[in-house]
Amino acid sequence: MKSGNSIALQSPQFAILSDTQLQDLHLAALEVLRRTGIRFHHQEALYLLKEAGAFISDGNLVKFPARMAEDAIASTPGRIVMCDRDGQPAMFLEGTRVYFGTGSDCPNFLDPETGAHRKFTQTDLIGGYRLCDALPNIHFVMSLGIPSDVDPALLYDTQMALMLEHTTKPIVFVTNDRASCQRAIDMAAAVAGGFEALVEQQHILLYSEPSSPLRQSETAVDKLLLMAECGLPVVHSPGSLMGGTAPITMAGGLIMSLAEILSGLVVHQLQRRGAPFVFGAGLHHMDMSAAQICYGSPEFQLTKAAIAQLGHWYGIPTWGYAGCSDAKVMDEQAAVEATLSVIMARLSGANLVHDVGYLESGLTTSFEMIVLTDELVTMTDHIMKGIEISDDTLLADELHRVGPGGHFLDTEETLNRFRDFWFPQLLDRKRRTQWLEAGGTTLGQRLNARVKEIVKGHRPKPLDQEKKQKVQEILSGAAG
Amino acid sequence: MDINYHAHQTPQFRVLSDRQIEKVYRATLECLNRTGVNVLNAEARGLLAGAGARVEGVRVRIPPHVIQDAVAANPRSFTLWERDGNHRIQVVPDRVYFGPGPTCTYFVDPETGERRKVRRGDPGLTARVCDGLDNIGYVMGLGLIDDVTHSLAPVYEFAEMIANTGKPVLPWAYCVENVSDIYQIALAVAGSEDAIRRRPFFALFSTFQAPLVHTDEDLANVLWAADHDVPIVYLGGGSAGATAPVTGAGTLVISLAGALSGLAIIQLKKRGTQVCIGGVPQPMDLRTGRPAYGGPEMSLYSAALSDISRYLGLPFMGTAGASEAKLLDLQAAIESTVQVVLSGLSGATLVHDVGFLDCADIGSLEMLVMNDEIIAMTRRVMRGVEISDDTLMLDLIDKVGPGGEFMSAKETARRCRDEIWVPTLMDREPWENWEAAGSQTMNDRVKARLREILATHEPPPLPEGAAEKIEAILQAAEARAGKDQT
Repeated sequence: MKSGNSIALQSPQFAILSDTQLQDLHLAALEVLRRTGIRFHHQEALYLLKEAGAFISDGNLVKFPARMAEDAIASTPGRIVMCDRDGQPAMFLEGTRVYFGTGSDCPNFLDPETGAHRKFTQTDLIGGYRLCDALPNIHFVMSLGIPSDVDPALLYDTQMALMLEHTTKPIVFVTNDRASCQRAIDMAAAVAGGFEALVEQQHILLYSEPSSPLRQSETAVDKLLLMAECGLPVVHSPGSLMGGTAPITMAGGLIMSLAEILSGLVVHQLQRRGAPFVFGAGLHHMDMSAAQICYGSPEFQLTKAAIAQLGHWYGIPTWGYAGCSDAKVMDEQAAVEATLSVIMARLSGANLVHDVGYLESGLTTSFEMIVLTDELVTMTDHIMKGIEISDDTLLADELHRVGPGGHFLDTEETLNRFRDFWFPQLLDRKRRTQWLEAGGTTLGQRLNARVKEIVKGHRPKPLDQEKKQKVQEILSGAAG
Repeated sequence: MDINYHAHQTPQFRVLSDRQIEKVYRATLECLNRTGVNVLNAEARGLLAGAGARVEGVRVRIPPHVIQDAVAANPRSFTLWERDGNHRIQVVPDRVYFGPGPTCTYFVDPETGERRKVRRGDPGLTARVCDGLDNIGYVMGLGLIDDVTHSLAPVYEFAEMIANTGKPVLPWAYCVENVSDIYQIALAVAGSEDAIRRRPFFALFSTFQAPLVHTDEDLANVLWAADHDVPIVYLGGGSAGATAPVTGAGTLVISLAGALSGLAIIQLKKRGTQVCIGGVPQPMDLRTGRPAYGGPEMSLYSAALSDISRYLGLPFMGTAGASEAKLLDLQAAIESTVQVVLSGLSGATLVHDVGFLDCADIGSLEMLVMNDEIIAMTRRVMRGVEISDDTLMLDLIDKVGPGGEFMSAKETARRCRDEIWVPTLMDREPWENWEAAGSQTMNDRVKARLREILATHEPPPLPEGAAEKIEAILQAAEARAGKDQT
């Protein structure tokens, strides 16, 4: 019989902040918006904000009554369903469902064939998109790198065209201005079979940033308004540095990020009420001695968990970070930082977790790091499953039958359930002699072998010739 | 002034709800009452029988009140001291300390990097390295010494450890003679029995077997320790699918039943003995037939046992820093990190086995050094995000305003050390600096740090005359062992 008043934890429970602390952060951010304000370097935005009741002084300093931010939060959709290139649902950005994807725009690449640290090329990007296409736990792609063999003016257009061609997975993209953003939308629309179809399928999502502290640039707001107008999703995520472009404390950094996100959201929702928006912030600190942004730090894990919790509290899909490191090569540090970040991403439940594959504080991409994160996701699946406590799983009768000193190797339940445990693909558990027979490899070597195997062997579903042609036309149009 | 304010001072992490814990605890009480345990020590059986347990041969069925009484009798908190009486660790749920484990067959030679049998001197090295690592709270030997009289290995190990660290030490023993020798060695250091009693700087590490068996030797050891007011860690496994039911829930029951029945025996021997229970609940990898130390389930089940122990008010020994990998590679880093993070967040009190490779077969000082950094990093996560008027810094934000910078604010200089952890082994340099400094991987830096500690770290010296007394105790033990053999 079911016992009364029983609350079971279906998965491990993890929280950085209490409800009252979340409210404190929200109220403090509203105070920043009311008292200090945000500079908007964008005429149309200033007009929209003024009309809606914001106070504007000194030309472009916008101060917000609390109502404006809370109104924007209320009208933002609580879920976004992103589809793959074929229009099939691929990611449900809602609640605490977690999806992983790469980062964008690294100048450098660690060549899996030679180990060399060198500039990215288009061929590398294609290999990377194929890799992501093949890995079951990489759910979306970002551009990975800046190809050095492309005219810099066509950089973002080229990335978009290559992503659309070489993977069917949803795309999070970056562009430099409104015109290139429009071309990205056009390319995706061509692939989706029309603009209507693209909006229905939500195959692409734009990443953009406020300019910390407390500013919104003209190009960022341009793109934000364009995406809102189209009804396509965006994440407008500040990337501030505690002790540099943000206060040194995490609490101070969080409210500043919040003020920046919410001011962006206000103008976004004023442009089109109900347009899809993802809530996120990358609140790093600067390592004072090295003057480098930290991606692997424990503080970054805490701020990203706090941001995810705030997003859940607002009921808006959330943006996160994992699988990234400050290490220069695929070493033990990269493994430690990737592991910590994946655990924290899973426990805090951000929906879109990006930057998988970053090394060197986001300046280098390593394919081995992407494969490693894929394995870590399956490993942490088994932590997130938690422990089921029920009469079925307590197995009291079986335990009694076996009794003290016996064994459970051949019991019915063992035979039924032993596959419930996690069996790693790349982590090794062999006996030493068998491990030596199999080559005595380190995990680093096995990751490298797996990368080469996939890049060589995997071919994503080809893009329809006609669609490919259309994408190429848009790309050539940009060149002209 | 805020009312009804609920703040998280640290991140909140739980695997089981209170009701789930009660269900596991009740199932454990039911298992002990219905199935019982095999108690292979006559004195222990007598103690349990006297308390109302039903004894049939070696099988003892223990009614719930005996267990509940033992839980109530155990001190909720006790202290393990450094031998100079300064540094100490508070053994209480939610205070977390990390340390190595015992009895690996092999040791990674810190000079040559070769994997070889454990020799005399290795536990001393381990203790010295632990002494030099800020995030290691207590010491275990990391290896079973192979080149001494076999029956005295744990005594040699303790003698080496105590001479090479000031931190609390957890010895283990084959038999009561070992425990007695270890106690004599501690006495040589402490000066008097009363000094040991007032400020214990070691605790006996002992184990129970799964499923549901307490051996004669282990029980004799802990009974002797209880009698002499030596704190005890009583820990056992449960390998899901082999020595425990295949489910996590069933494995928790096996681990808890072993620990709590052991606790009952100890508390019946001497009420108020300081005990930390422990569990190493692992999944078995049926492809290899070995328990999977590195499996995510091990960390998950351990965190659940930590939840249960906190609920019962008992300190708990968990497991972390132990990998399946055969050498210090990325896998060792991954598995360590999962384990350290989950042990830390779950609030296990004494977390052991830091430094294990190859499924507890190899002790590695490099692994220990790498984990010291992972622990430091995890400790920063455990401190959480402080939310207060002081940290929200609204006035500073207003003063700096849109487009300004915070680098030169005096608050930044004042708070940056508190707010931001500075790594010692993790690299954050720009690529050019890193390359100029020799393009070292973390593995290289770990090895360099280990060499540095071995070359420079001096543990606090033993009190005058103690080394000679310890030598005499070892010689007497050898003489006894020689006589036993002839």
